[in-house]
Amino acid sequence: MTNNVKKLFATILQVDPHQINDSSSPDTLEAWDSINHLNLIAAFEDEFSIDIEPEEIPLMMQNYATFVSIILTKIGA
Amino acid sequence: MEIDHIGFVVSNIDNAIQRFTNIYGFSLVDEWIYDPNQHVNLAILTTQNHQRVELIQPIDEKSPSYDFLKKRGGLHHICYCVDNLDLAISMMKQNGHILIRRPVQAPLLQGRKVAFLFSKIDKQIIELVSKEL
Repeated sequence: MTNNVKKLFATILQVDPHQINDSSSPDTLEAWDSINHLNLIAAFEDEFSIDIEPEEIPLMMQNYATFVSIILTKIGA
Repeated sequence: MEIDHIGFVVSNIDNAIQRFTNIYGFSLVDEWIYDPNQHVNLAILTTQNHQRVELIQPIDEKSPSYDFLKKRGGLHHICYCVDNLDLAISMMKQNGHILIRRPVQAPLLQGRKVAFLFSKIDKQIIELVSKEL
């Protein structure tokens, strides 16, 4: 499941999945800006049929580990 | 829905006010204010035809638009005025929008409630403001 998450994340940001690690953040990934973050939220909601709360959206921009953690919790993986 | 204003995120509100008045012919509606809820300086400007822009200067990283300024800046959102905010949010969520900020009072808009959504299709931030207090 984590591979699927990383693959979708990389596809939306149009970056090589190998560039992404747990500490990746908007400071280290140029493509991870606030609009692309919302594109990520939209893509993950649609792909995994989950609802992400407004309060979770800024938290998920802290780093990739936090993003994945919240997604996996919602998926129940 | 009617367009209430178009929002721009700027790095310096005084410079932006000068730019929008001198180049584009807008007039400042009131003095700009600091919104402590959003950690931003805000100003509304209007044309003679009542077309309005909102200028938003994030003050620190607690501002919801701080990251937007860091990598982009400029045109940020379109704000629509609606009769019933909760009903409009519900309708938009059913039609390809994500609620990204729940309704809060906006000091710059006479304390009327605003909410922010994101259009999955147009990849655009939309603000809704209620017509009444």
